[in-house]
Amino acid sequence: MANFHYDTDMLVDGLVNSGELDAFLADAGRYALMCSENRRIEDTFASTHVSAATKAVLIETLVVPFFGPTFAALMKRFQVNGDLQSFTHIIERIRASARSRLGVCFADVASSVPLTESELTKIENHLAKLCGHRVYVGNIVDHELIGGFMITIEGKMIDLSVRGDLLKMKILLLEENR
Amino acid sequence: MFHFEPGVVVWTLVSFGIAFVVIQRYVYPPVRNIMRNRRETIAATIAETETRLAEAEQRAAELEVRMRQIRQEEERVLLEARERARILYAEQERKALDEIRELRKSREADLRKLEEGFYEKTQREFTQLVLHTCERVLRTGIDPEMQRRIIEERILELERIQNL
Repeated sequence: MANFHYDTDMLVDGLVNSGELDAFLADAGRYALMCSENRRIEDTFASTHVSAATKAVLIETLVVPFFGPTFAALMKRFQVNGDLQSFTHIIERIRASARSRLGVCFADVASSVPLTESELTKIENHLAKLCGHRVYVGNIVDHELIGGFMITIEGKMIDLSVRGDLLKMKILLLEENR
Repeated sequence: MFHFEPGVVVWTLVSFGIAFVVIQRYVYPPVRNIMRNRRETIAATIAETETRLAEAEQRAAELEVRMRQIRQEEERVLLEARERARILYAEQERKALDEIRELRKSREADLRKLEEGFYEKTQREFTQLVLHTCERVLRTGIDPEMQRRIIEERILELERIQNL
């Protein structure tokens, strides 16, 4: 259903022309971060047992005050169309449109604790150097990582987490003992 | 006293002559026939006996030869049987030894596999235990300040990466 409701190319063009693309993508990243820290938000929006009115109230209280107007408007549109459960999919399509039209990259950084703006900027700058393009970085929290962070960029993964270290240690131990 | 009496002599001679003639004519021929027959019978019996003896001797010789052949045959059969038994025994022994060797090899391989599996499993479990312990210690032992420091270190690590 979501595929037919949204012209993501047009949305990206509109955001670029209005100069709101960065803010919109940052909001999308922050929303993903919020959802990763509290899974119940996503579950509530995806649930068919929660009424549309309740979802509308939740958007008004959880999204509108804390996110930019464009992102909030899009979320409202998702709610009206019943596409809240397709948020991740639609955001991926928006990212794909931005990637193809603007030649930018997207990176998801999963970290054990939310990253600060300065940390994200450092990561973003270095990833931009590695890719040769501008990189939009989204942060989500994954407590399973224990410490550090793990970056997924253009289908590749850079694991700099403590869990990754433990996994490497495990592999080394098992290989050495073999 | 001895008296020569010619009458007695004559009559003695006459009676003797008569007796002689009677014996010569009526008694002697059947006796002679009987004697001849008897002699012939004895000769025939002797000849037959000699023939039978010769036959018996020949049969005995044949039997001796036959016995010798039988003994030789018996010895040959026994030797062959012993040799066959020896070969069969050796073959069975070799087969049994081969089977035992194969079985032992198979059991040794099984044991080795079991041993390796045991060591591998123990190592894996020990590694899991160590890692689990590390994870638990790290989860409870990392405070927010340490988290920030780890993130800073990892950002520096990221900056050392030169290509994706």
